Amino acid sequence: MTNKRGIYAAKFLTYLGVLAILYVVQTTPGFLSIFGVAPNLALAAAVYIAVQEGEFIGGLYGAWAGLLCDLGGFTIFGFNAILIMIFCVTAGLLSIYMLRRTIQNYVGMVFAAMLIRGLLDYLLNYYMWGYEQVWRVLTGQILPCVIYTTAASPLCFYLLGWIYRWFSEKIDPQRSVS
Amino acid sequence: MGDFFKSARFKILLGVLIMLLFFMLRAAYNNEMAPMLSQIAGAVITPLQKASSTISTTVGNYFQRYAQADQIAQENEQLQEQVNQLREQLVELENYRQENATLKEFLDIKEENPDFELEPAAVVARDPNHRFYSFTIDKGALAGVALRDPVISPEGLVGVISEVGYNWAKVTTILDVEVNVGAYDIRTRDIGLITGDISLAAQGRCKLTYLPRESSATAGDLVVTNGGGLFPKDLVVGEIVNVAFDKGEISLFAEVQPAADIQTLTDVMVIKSFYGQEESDDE
Repeated sequence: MTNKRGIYAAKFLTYLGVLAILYVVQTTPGFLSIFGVAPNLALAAAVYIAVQEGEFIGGLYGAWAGLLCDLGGFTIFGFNAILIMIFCVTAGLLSIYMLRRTIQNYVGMVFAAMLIRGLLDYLLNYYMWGYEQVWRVLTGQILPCVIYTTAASPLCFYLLGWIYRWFSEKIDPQRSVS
Repeated sequence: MGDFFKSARFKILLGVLIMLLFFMLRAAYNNEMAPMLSQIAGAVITPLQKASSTISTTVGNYFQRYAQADQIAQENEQLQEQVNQLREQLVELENYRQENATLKEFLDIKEENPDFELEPAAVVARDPNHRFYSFTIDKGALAGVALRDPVISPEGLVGVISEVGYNWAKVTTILDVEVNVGAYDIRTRDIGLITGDISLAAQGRCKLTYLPRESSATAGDLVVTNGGGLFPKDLVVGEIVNVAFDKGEISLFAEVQPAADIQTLTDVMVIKSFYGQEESDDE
């Protein structure tokens, strides 16, 4: 029992660390950046955790991923934390009640989360302020980031999937994990 | 699914959500220092970002050298072995040379402006959801960096500090539509306002607005700051690329190519104090 608790603790600490590392990687100047656009891997990873672990754990990790994004982002503090937490709770509930845990569904959820985040960012931080040619922010920065993150999300699926399976086998060796 | 909304788990998540909302409202109300949660996360993450940035630069330089050595090898096969031996030393020397050149340029700035109190800083993070190429540096309140301090590179003005943590700070660049800097054309002495423009930001340019209709400002003119409390006087901003009438043709505006390469900067200087600096209530 104690050993299982230790493994659970190690798993959840690993998730925390992986999210932090992905955040550091995605913000490293020049690294992963294509024409000034970089993927939001922390969000993609948090959605995966929500899909596998459910809405509660997923929501908490979503808040953590969002706090990291708020740390380097230029939106008001809490904007990403609240949104990504809500996305992860939704993703967790969808994977429990409506959707199978397949890579297609996961990629779709990452795309939807990024798109909604991007559109809200565009609406609240750019469009509402009436800047000239504001649509260029959407087409030149926000949508490319959505596409890049969606394209890179399978990497998170396989990386975190491997971590999830590894810990699941340690917790319950008899159970096979899909 | 209905059970979830009645469960203790939902209440806990709701509590976290309310806490985040509280922090967001507090951040919106009090913009002086980054919120406590952000401070804690920043204290942990910034050293990691600094390490990652250093590794990325070193590896990038290594592969750049490697590609060059490969080209030489094709032309001079007999020198391949010697090139391989020297490559590692070259990378190291190149890094030292670049660092030396940057520091010398910063020293020149200090010599030209003895009233400047400068703080060298490295660009450690560029967020995927950045605003007009804004970035995070590895110096914060502990190093004396304060809100609205000007940020420069050896080439010229870069931006202004928009948020401060203990060991990090966020820099909003002059490409941002929210930044306004008083500036003038050094040849014609016409005064205007440097601000960002969404369509120009993608090209790494900003614009000098509110130039008088009769201004003779033209491409090639140098634009510098005109002081005024927030920025030191005569900091180089950039060079005029094009001049045109503003909407309504009441005034002119000039497209300005910043002297600093804002999109790829790796090192900057924060001007912590200078002669004539305005004391701000926020600092």
